[in-house]
Amino acid sequence: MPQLDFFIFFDEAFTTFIFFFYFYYVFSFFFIPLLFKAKFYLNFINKTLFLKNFFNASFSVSGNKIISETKYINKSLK
Amino acid sequence: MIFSPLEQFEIFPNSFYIFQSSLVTKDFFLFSNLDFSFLVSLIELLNLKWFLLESKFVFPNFSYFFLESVFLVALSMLVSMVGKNAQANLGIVLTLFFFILILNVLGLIPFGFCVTSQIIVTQFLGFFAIGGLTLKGIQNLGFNFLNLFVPRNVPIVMLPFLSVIEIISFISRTLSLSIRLFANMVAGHALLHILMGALLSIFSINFASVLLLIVFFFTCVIDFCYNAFRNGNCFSSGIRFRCSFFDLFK
Repeated sequence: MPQLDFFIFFDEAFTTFIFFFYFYYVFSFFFIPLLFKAKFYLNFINKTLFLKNFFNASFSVSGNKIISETKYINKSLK
Repeated sequence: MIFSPLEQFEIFPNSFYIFQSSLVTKDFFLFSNLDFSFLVSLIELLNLKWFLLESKFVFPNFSYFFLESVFLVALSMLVSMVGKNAQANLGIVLTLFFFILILNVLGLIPFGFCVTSQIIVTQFLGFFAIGGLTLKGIQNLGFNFLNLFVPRNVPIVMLPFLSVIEIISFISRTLSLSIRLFANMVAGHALLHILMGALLSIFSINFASVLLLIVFFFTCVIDFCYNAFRNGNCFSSGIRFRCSFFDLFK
């Protein structure tokens, strides 16, 4: 039985450790922070629209960031 | 030709000729079929990661809500069973769940390799899960962690015996957790192999046609389930029958 070979046994345990650690890294540093932002899609909206809104707000006359942001999102919803 | 049902669990240390002939000798560098299956699982994980983080969809679709609901169910279970302070340990719980899920599903692919059918993999997971739990418990509770081994409402005469039994059961939990998964996987895959061999020998048909039938069946099932969740009926196009997937279970 090859499974009883100690070297293969060690190799399997080591690969399991590495892959499990990578899974843990991805879940704990990428997926769960998204969950605790309550919604996944907020992240996408922020990523794509935040900079545009920020610059629009800073160069606009009213300068109200929140209003411009909501306007932008409403436009995109239409 | 029918092989032994236990042949599928064998590990070949150097299954790929490229790695055998490389400068790195095979004694120091192993790339087995198990490592290959792990790499495939990694591709699955990266696909999920790309889908959640890198894709350009601004508004959520079905898959986002599905994954989010899975995460929230795990979180609510953790909070209800352990308490609100256990929210920080959601990562390890979800990792264990998805790790085992992805590896088990990948084992079902024809000509694939079931990683969780190896005792060392499950033993590793069980040992480190229980070891981490113990360390965390000692860190949080200190000396009070030993209360776990003292059952309540028991006469004092019986306490030493019962605490020994409790300690043995706590230690053997690593074995029981790992052997449960290992035995289920080995038994299930061996049974599938035997049934497949019986099908081939009884009907004396080509293996490829059986494979095609299985693939057709599973695609139908996946398509039906997807459309049932998505549209409320089992069919994506054509005449829409007034038969919902959920109506069957009312």
